[in-house]
Amino acid sequence: MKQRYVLRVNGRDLEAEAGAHESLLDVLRERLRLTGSKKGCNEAECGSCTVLLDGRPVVSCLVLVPDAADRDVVTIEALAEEGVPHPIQRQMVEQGGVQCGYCTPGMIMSAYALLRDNPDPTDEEIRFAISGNICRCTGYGKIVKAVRAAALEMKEQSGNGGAAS
Amino acid sequence: MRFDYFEPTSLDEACGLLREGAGARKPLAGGTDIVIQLRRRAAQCQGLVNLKRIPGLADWSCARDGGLHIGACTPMRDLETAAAVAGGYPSLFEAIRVVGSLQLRNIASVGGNLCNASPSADTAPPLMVLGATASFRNDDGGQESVPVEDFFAGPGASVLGNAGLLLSVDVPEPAPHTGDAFERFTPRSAMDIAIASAAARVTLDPDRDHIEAVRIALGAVAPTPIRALRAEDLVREKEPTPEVLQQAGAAAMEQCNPIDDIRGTAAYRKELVRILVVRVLRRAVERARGDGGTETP
Amino acid sequence: MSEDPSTETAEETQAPYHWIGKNVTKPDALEKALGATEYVGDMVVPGMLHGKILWADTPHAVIKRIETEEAARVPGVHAVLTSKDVPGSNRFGLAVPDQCALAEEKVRSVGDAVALVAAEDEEAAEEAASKIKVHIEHLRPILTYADALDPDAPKIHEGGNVFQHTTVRKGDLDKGVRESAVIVENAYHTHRMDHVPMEPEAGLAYVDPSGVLNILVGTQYPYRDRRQIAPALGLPMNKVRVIQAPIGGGFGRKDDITAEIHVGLLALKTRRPVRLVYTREESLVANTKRHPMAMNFRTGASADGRLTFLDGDIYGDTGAGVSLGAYVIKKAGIHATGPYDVPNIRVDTYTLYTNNLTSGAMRGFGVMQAAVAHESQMDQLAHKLGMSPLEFRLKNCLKPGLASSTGQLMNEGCGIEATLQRIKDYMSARELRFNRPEAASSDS
Repeated sequence: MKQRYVLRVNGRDLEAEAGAHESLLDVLRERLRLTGSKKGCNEAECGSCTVLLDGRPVVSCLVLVPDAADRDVVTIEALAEEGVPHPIQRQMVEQGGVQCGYCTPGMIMSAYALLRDNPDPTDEEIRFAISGNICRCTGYGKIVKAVRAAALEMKEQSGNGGAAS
Repeated sequence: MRFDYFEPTSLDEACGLLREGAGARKPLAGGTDIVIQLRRRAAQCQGLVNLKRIPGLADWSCARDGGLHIGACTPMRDLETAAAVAGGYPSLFEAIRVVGSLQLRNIASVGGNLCNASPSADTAPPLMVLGATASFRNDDGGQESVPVEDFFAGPGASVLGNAGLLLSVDVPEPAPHTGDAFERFTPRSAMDIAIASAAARVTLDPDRDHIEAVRIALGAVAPTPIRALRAEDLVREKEPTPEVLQQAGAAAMEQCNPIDDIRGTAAYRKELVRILVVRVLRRAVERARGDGGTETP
Repeated sequence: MSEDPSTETAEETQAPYHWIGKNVTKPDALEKALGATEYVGDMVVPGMLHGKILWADTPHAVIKRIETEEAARVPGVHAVLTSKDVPGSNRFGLAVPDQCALAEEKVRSVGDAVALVAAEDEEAAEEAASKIKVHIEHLRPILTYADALDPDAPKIHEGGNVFQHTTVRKGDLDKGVRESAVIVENAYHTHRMDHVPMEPEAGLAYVDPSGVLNILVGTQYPYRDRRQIAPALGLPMNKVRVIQAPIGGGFGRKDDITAEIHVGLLALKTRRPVRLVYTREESLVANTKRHPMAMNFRTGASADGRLTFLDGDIYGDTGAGVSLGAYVIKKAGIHATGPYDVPNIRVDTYTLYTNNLTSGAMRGFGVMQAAVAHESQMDQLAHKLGMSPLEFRLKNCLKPGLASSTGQLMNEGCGIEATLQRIKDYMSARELRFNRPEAASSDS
């Protein structure tokens, strides 16, 4: 039943034995021990499992592992570089966008994809980008604020010739 | 939910695998419906045949004189982010934009939305009013095309047999002075399934006073998405006054045949149809006149 | 949601306190933003088994027989347990121990657990659970308030279906009615609601070398958990240790026992660490909810806009277990007048057992349900009097020196008047008006 799959996760080729029916999320969490992506519903309703697949944010709970083989997967674990949190991660902390934290990794991945494609989003664009990520604690206001602050920080960094991701 | 998994690289191979399965294998495009159904044990199948490694099935194009060609496996998000789709086929854009979440639309396909054949499939009413055709391989391996409105056979059932495969959906280039719109009602503004939906397309005469041609389609209010033919008759060759649009809404309300379920009662759905039909007609007319109508209410 | 700077006051930002009035960064926030925090469902320990629950899936039934043999034969299965395997009382509950860890002679709700499995992996556990055969005889389910109040209806628990009746009495109701120029009478129903914390419930248990049962769980109250776990499993209190794990949202529902007793029992029986993670569906079915309530309110006011009386009944559906329902529903009665001065009061509350899902604590704790009724009554009274709903509330709100429905004297911390005044200032500064026209008292 089980097969060996090679997944390109966070820039590294990782091997995992799994059944074809297993989801990318389960393989990341249970086989590769990358548990930053969360399992809030397992049916694409909550967004807490959001990862990038070939650069696109997807709900990893619905991607079957053979479908992810030989494709680029980026998870929350890859965002901090050499221990330095990504501006979105830092601003989520500073603006109070993190409470219980369970939605946070998925929320950050959606925001990350947004700011990569649209470095200067309006609040409406931010809300649209995270509309597939449910948060039950914050009421979203501080998350939107954090993404806005992160966009500004990233713009300043790139303006100063710094390393914006 | 264990199953065999196949990754054919050609149409013939895929159809062969489905035929061998004799109904026990299902095609897999985005998988956003079938994977959930299998997990909930709401669907039975011994094998999934992934179509996404078949060349061409996920290709789409939008040519100025050739209309919109959508390969069955095209992720919805590809169309959503294309200016040519939002500008040329706004009803389809409006429908795609509300399917699940952005993260889901990066996986989910238009073809899957049709083949899953839910009465509430968001892309069905716009494709019906846009006059789209569905091209598919039938059970015997022959190629066929039907208008999208003839594609559905009942809740969860389409004209595709056990071994049939949807290949593409083709939308013709709209005529001049044509506008279209889609609207649905959901209790939440995102991540929800339509209680009722409606799409309309109107073509105005060159003076832009009268409706020359019209199509209205409804979702989630009958066993399949349906055309509201009587409502169409009431507005065709008429001036689109508020009264005329109201009459169309009332006629559509009479024609639909919704059920009571956890999302809404039949009476509530009918009332929604009356309102949604007026709104989509009004916005379609505005777009046909070229004076806005791009804003969703 | 959107932050309006005008709503921040100067006092708040200049408070002479160390923490109060300051923005404080949560100490665990960065770890969470990095994705590094391990919730129970993220944890793995060597030798760990996976637990699975077989739910009753029927609201009211007598259990005749449970067959576990076939389930036990599934490869990788280490234990298949029913109530017979529970070494202790098998009972838990926050107010009274009226819930069974594993159903005994009766099923009282679809969310009752009937059997448990521990296996090498989740798939084996799931397969085994699906092979347990439960033979039952259906009983008439008690699903409505009327059913629960019917003295001839089958009793869900031995003591009958009305668990508690409380009363609030103040002043002279007849006098209040006589002094009323307007009276409104309405029935209000609020619905059952799930907290839906983003993290589905989970527990991880192991017996350590000194024989202590350790249970990691995202809980709101480890010590109260322990007070319920130890007797249910027949252990002395000092042989149970509940370890607070990161909690992915609670909102009241993780006040109650969730996975603790089940995962603890599996660890005791298998002598292996066991992790049990609910699916979202299980989380929706099995855990406590916000109480649905039915409220019949009659409220009066004098011609000059003073509240005269409240005459009300509140029925709360606590489901198959009381949990904290007796307190929640009593509290709805205490708060039935809202933050308003009502001189004459009769309010009765009834905590009713039904075969619906057990309801317990949720943000607001009964006060929100009451607010649906009392605020709707206030709007309608203001409308009948031809008064602004805001002025009507300002005139009747509690102020220092006045007493609540139960006689609590208001002193500091009674902020309703200041709150209403702030709304009034805000509205007048922006020339905002209420949508609903103010009617004359002769209207309707």
